[in-house]
Amino acid sequence: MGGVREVLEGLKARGGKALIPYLVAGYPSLDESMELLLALQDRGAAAVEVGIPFSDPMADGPTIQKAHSLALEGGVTPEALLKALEFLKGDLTLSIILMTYYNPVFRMGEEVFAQRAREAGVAGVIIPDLPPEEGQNWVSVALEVNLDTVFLAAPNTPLERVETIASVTTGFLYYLALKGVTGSAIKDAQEVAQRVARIRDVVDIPVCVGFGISTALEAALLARGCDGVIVGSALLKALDEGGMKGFLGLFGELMGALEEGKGNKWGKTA
Amino acid sequence: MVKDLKFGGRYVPETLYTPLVELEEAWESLYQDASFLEELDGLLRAYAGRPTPLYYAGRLSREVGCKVYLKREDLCHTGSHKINNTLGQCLLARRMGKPRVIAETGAGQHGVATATAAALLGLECVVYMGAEDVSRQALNVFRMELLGARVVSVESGSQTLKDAINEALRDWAANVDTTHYVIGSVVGPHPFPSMVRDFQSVIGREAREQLLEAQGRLPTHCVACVGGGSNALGLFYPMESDPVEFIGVEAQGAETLSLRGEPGVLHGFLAHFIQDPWGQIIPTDAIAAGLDYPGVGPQHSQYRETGRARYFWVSPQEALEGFATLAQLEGIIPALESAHAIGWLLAHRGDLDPSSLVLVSLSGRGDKDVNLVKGLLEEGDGRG
Repeated sequence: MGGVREVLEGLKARGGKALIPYLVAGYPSLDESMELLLALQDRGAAAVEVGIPFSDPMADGPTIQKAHSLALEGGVTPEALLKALEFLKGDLTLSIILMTYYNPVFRMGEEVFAQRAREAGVAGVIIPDLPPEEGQNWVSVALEVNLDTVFLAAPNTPLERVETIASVTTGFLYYLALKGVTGSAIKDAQEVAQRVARIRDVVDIPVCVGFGISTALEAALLARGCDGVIVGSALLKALDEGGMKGFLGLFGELMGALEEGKGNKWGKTA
Repeated sequence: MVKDLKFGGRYVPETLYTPLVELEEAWESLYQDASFLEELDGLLRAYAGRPTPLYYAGRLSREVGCKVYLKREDLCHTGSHKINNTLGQCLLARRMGKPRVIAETGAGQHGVATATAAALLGLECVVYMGAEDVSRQALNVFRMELLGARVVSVESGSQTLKDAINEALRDWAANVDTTHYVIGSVVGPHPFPSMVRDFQSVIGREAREQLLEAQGRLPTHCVACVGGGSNALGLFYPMESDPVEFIGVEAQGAETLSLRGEPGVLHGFLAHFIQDPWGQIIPTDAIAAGLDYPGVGPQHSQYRETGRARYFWVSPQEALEGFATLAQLEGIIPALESAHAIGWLLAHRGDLDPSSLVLVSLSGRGDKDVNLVKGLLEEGDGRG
């Protein structure tokens, strides 16, 4: 399995954009999470973000919080997830990116976590509460085992700092469409797109946009100006309402919008 | 391994990183700004009732077997030391041009103190409180509303203090341009632990001076209850380089430093937390809401690791004994939190050398707990 960046650049070479769905490991169950991964792969997902449930997900809104807390009630641990991924390693060709709060990594030990993730076929890790300043050791540990670390940039991150963050990011730079938590509403997608354009001027690495993207229109509009979009809360809501079918239905709709975006309907791709 | 850890830090989502840097800069410049310090000092005197008395508890001393002095933070406006910090932070918010403040609260002490300072300084105030605490502390909710604050009931997670902090951090990330987060203890991402420590250090500075005046010597022991640890750190810190023994008293059910906490990261900082082997935070169960937190300020973690302070826990029975004993011997009804410090002292009566001079932080008054204690005593829960 290649790095996340190669996956994104491969897509880009074919004129495509990545739609990176997010799911919570163990919600509604670990088996169903694994089924979802395979189904997403069948439907053309190039990469997926898998959340490790945490007791105190402070960057997440109510939809994802609830999924974390139900997954924990179901007894999912990082170890159980990594075992399940390792078991499916041969079947999974899409890029698996773990999204975890820092404490589970810290408790397991950075070296052990990175090693185990790599053995399980994980391509990259996102740790939303680990800014580069606190993540220096993690970055070197991850590089050692060839694991990407995706750092985040926010709407209020000064451009100079964006450059610093981009310099330690591997895989892609995760740009937050909004301040606040996952699942909030994007007020003006055009304005977000303009901010993304300014970010892309100063960084060389692929940029994906996430937080608050809930409709096909938003996804298509934002994808135009970056390398991929990340959708979490909206998909989990669809999962709550319509089960796996609901999740995959919305995923298909969003993929369709991105596909169309390649053509004239949404204008020329960047 | 633990000794190499750097407690504290700034483990926050990127949206909060730059605002924390700005807050640190603002704090560093205001902390040396004579007009800011004068304004704060003026409010602490004329409004909050400082300096608070240092009281020689004669009958308690005879019971314990050595001299015991109480630093009377219970006599502060709003009934606890919390006002020292909220006045400071709300003034800071105003200086930074932020018209809105938010806070978390467990039982409501810090919420009331924040709502009070916000009312005084004309700031909009929103207080996050776990749904369970909202129903247990209806009167304090009303008190905050009377003061003009909006109280938001937090339904997520364990619906208690730690979840209220999560929710406050989420609000802050979304509204950081207009909002200052008045965190209530020596916890959170840098610079909060240092800033709150500095605001609370008025406790130790005053007490040190008052005791030198009264006894001509420093205390041998400083004793204070520890939840997040703000009153304890406020007492200890100004005497850090003095030859004084520091005792932090935790509540059974939340024995972070005295028993079962392990290093971890929550709420933006690295310190000891009560957690499972996978790093999931375990909800605590202390009888005093102000001590019911699964972690502790980073400087307390540091004190414990270096041996500068020692930490113990006391049972609900011991805390209730402290509560009743102080009421009966001294005519002072302490907050259930502070009663843990008294409880520790009573549990060690006779152990301390008679020449000891013990300084206890009486962090709050107990009116808020009278109902709860009545219930506990009637259940017989507290009689052991």
